[in-house]
Amino acid sequence: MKLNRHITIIQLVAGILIISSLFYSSLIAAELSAREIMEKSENVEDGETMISSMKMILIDRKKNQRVRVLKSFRKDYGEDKKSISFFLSPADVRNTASMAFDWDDPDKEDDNWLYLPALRKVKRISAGNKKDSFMGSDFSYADMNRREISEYDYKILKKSAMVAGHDCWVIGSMAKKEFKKKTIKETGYLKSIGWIRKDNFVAVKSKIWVKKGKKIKYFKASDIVKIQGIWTAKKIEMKTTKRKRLEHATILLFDNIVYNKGVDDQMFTTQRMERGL
Amino acid sequence: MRKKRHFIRSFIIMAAVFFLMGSYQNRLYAESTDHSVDSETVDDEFNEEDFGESEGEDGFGDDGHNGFDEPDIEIKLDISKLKETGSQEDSSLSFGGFVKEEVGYSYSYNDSNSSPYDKPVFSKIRTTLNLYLDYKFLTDWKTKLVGNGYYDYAYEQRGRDKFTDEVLESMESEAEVRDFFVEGPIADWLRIKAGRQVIAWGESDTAQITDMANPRDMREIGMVDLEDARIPVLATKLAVLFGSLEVDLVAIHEFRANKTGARGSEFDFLADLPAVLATLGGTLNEEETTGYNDSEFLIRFYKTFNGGDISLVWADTYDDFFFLDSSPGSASLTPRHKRIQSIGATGNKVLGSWLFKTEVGQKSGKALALKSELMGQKLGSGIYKTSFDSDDEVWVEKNILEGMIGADYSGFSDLTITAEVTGEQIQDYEDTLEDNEISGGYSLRIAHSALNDTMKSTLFWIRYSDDNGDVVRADVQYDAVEALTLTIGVIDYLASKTDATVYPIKDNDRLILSAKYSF
Repeated sequence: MKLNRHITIIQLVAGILIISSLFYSSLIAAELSAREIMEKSENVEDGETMISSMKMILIDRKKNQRVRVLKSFRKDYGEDKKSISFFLSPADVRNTASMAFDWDDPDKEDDNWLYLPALRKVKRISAGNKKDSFMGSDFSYADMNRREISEYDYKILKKSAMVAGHDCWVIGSMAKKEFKKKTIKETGYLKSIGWIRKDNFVAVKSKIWVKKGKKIKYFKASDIVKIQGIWTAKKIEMKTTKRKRLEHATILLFDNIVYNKGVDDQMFTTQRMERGL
Repeated sequence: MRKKRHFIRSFIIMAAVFFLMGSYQNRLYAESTDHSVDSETVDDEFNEEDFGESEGEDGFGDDGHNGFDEPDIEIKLDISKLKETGSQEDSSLSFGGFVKEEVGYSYSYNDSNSSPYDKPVFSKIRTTLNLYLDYKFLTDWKTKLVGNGYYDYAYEQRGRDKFTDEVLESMESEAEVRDFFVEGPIADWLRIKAGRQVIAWGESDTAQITDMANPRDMREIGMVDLEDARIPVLATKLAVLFGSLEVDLVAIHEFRANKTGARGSEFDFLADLPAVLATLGGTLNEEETTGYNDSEFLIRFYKTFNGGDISLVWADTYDDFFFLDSSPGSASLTPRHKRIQSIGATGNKVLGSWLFKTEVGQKSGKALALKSELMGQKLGSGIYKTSFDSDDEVWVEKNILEGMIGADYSGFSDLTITAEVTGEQIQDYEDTLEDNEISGGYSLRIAHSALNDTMKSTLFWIRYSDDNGDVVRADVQYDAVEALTLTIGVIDYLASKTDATVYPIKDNDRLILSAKYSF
């Protein structure tokens, strides 16, 4: 498992929401422009704090499965976010911890630390290559980061499509010409199509074109429930395919999600990473 | 010439392991990834389009806007695996560990070496069992116990009578308690951790400048796993938190020295010394590791800020490295440990994909050996000191300045490159000293991951300045199935100068195979 550029599962959840919001959400008001819709989608409610557990199932081409279990905490400080995650299993990565401070100010470098129990040492880490796989999964680090709305064109490809009984918009997204090189370099993605539920603006599936190797990724969210008033997908999967054959897949199962419960500031310290849960 | 040949041979071996494994990774990828696709071609598909143009009506190709067209790939989750992991976070008691089987093949032993290192041989066939127990109690208190033991069959297989008692005692088997501590909060701002523990400070991966709390396992230089490199010590640590500032106060209650190659082992850096001393009527005594009863103390101020961390460290400890002290009333030498004081600072700074790091420090009161001929003259004079506290020493007390600058770069896909330069200067240098006034080294680590992080390749190279030799290691780890990690690697020691630091171990090159199962 690659752990040198770690992003917490809280950011993953937020990232999925961002995927949905960037590409597809908040389009219920037809009179809004695409830009207005995207700006609105930036403010998707995700609570002031969040505690959650996640099982990450990594599946290779032969359908062999590896399971990772994590517990995470997030706290918002205005527009800034602090988050920390602890690995509970498997045994060879147990007690590994990662912490991230996500600053809203674009001039500030995000802060990331990693605690490796083998070294018994907290190490600061750089942001690295955002196209890389997140923890060996089919999600990339770029999936977790906010993208500049102004750098993309969006288009409603279909005003109504049914997915699992829910009416959805089908939205296409592609970087503007002047930002194409930059966004492809940062994300590795060429374009995407997404399906957004009209009743709650949640992305239920999407198709993403990957530049390297002409791969296609398929994203699906299900088991979508309202927890403390916040729409939350409890099952998320991403499949990476090549010529319609599976290369690898990742399924995320979220559980024990609690929003807006007091999370101590001391949770977000390097000392806490060393101590573990 | 010999050095050049040795270097070329070693380079070829390293390159073969590292890059052939890289090729293997690529081949695995190639089964499903067409690398022949010209990336510019892909770019061109989109250069002129926007929605509604070139790729059909909507710019989204043949799929059209209706087309999710997900391949029919059914994935059935392994429910038993999910159940296994289901209740872990709620458990106050947890235990586990690993079993590891390691095989080492020393391929460079030859006839020029003395027995038992006279021909290529399996020099390690070691089985290790590691067990841990975690128990959480009260609110936010926990205790941890880690035990580790191994048995190395290679010594029996090669013939135990070929080895010294010291070698068998040090290398054939071991069973010890590693970590054993209790930890918890005394107040919101104050925590305590008491017991055998590891306290890992500093920025450098290769130098111990401010990382002074724990001795190191150096019995097989370059081959010790990271998790085993630091030796836990009995200590009490108080951590005081003031926002992003942490102050650590540490008292160490037991002295443990660096574990070094036993007398007569393949990593015995003093292998030639007993014969030299014998000509003077002296001996090389056992390393003195008892009698160091005074507690050691360390303080660290550690602060994080946006984009970087800094720390200041002060320490009053015993030197974990031994020095050679002349023995009262004889021409013998005894490896002993001296009290030293250290002060240092560390810092790091992130800039994009770069992490720059530095560490500086001064160690006061280090015992440095006189040149060997001067030492020989003193020992051979027949005028021996009357006690260990005598002034007539074969060493000199000096202060040493140390520094490290380095950087991690992780801007390439799935690749991290780490480079460090370390150096040290002896203050108030005298020509009578064995060591050079300025010394140091350079290190490079390249780590690559592939196959969704199931395969990791690492190349590590450290070069000591002043032609003191190189240590190069390349290995590939593969997670064959859940919790089972297979490793293949090679380590090579390079030195040509007979007085080079690495020279005594230059024939210890080794192929490494291991399988580790965690549970």
